[in-house]
Amino acid sequence: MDIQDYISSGKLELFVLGDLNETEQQEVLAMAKKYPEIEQEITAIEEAMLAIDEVSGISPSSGIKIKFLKHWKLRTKSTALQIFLINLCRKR
Amino acid sequence: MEEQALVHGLRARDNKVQEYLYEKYSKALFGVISRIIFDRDIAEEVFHDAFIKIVNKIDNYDESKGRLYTWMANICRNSAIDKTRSKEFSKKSKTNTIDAYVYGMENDAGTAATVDGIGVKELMDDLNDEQRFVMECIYFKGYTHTEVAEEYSLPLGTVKSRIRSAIKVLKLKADKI
Repeated sequence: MDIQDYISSGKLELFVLGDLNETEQQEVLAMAKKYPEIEQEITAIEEAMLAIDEVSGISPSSGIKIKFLKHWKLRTKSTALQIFLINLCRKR
Repeated sequence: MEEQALVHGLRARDNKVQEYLYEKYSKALFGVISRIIFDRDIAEEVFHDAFIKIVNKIDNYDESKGRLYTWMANICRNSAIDKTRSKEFSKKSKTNTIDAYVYGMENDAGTAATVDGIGVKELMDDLNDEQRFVMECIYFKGYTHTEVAEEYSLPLGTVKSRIRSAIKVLKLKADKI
């Protein structure tokens, strides 16, 4: 198989976009493992997608961030409390 | 922060790392969703759920399959597509186009979104008609490449090569902005 043809087919872009089925994904991963050029190209496409999304992205409203922070802190606190109570029960 | 340290911190459920992740990637990830979902409230609702999913399911992320951002972007993209295909989603919102997207953001005067929106308009301007059409279907309507090929009777190879060339053009432009 011609590696350059494989790279220029557009399949790697679809792989990064999550637009391949499981079998095709596995094939791309196996090819990337075998050929460093393919692996490098995938990384370049991933970086390109991020760069495109970064310049064209929009910030969500500040309320969303506050909501997340509350959600995470609450989760961490409740997990810490659970661990504390489990340990307390064990000691007794 | 290096990606490895970032993933490690997320797996340790470190609040500071979760906040860092939000600061670093929320703009790009929300962009992925709001390209597909025009209604800002619905887009934010989808983004909220997708981001919670990313943080909660971080153990499912497999480094050997790609970078963290790619995994996160695909969760956001799939959540947005699922939403547009759900029964409750109105048909009106489905007809997203680049112009509607940019127009919608320009309407949103006085917010950061307006400034950000110029980026997407400029980006797409450099594509030729064929590339623009394919990217509009994939980026803005959330179609798969096979759906584009079937719906518009284009050979699969043609769709794929247009996606590839379009991404190259977009990347070059993104680097200049």
